Amino acid sequence: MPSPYNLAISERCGQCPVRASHAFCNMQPEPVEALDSIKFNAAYPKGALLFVEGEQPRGVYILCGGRVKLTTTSTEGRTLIVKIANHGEILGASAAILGKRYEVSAETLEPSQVSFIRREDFLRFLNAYPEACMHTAQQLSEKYEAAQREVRSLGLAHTTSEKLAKLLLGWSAEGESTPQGTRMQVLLTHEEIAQMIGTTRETVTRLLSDFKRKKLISVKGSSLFLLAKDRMTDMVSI
Amino acid sequence: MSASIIDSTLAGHETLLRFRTGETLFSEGDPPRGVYVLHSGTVQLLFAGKNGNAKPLRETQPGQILGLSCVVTQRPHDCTATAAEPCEVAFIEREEFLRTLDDSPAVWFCVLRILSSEVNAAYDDIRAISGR
Repeated sequence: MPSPYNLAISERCGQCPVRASHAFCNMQPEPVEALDSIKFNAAYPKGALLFVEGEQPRGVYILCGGRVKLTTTSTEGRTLIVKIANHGEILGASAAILGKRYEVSAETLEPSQVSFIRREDFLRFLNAYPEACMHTAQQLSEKYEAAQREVRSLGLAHTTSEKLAKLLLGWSAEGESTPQGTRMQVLLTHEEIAQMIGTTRETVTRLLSDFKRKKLISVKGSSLFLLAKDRMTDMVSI
Repeated sequence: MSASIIDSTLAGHETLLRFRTGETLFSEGDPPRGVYVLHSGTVQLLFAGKNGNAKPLRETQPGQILGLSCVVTQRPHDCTATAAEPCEVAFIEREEFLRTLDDSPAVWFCVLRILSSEVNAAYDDIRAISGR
């Protein structure tokens, strides 16, 4: 039976239909059972805050379904998106492991199902299962690599149009090839795209129009087509 | 502290390497061969741009471990590591490193702490860069 938010709600990890495709929780039956006994399920609407930068770490959140944006605040007070987290990711792990305040805020971009694990339970779980350690290490490493890419883009790109081109090229890697070009679903607002490349909403809107005029991209509804990948790659020096 | 526990656990599995100033430990795009524990000297991490416009990222001090995240994800190195002064480095091959970890939850926990600190350091960099 579909839930109000169309989430495939699954109470028990052992019966989760999407666990096999999930990076963190795809483990042997024994750790999955242990995970089941320490987690709390919850469904959140769009725009819900799971945790806020600066809060003491209560625990970790496994994103079972939905998408979450991880944001931080620059020294100038500007909001920056450091990563869009997808289902199967674990959130808040670095703060929970170090026992330090959350370094980022986590806000749902769409209705999401989330499993919460208290910090003490999570640490005991890691201690008991090396496989969970490996999966957590992979999750942390991916967060690190995503943050490094952000540092590279913000620090090395000479212009904002170069940053936007780099972002679109990154998305196109997971796009679908069509006769018109590579199709990507853009599920972010111009404001959110601006927060990903450290600029303003107005600049993103202007640059996207500019890209359209130069026949680099075309937009139909929420689909964005990358028309000239080679020319766009030439724009990027990083 | 975490790194020293790992270093002592790995003693006997490691190869000691010496690098002169300007020599490269690994380059951006290289596949991850293993982890590097810096015993002495300073290693500079940098991003290499497409047209040779390298950008310094951070410096690594003795006791710190390099290449950990790439070894875990099996993805190529995302930055270049160069000796900023003569360095002594203990190198442990990937397979050997992962085998050692599976025998000891305490060492695993140290690895998780180091990775968590690296995530936080990268977030600090993001805040600093975009604040300018």
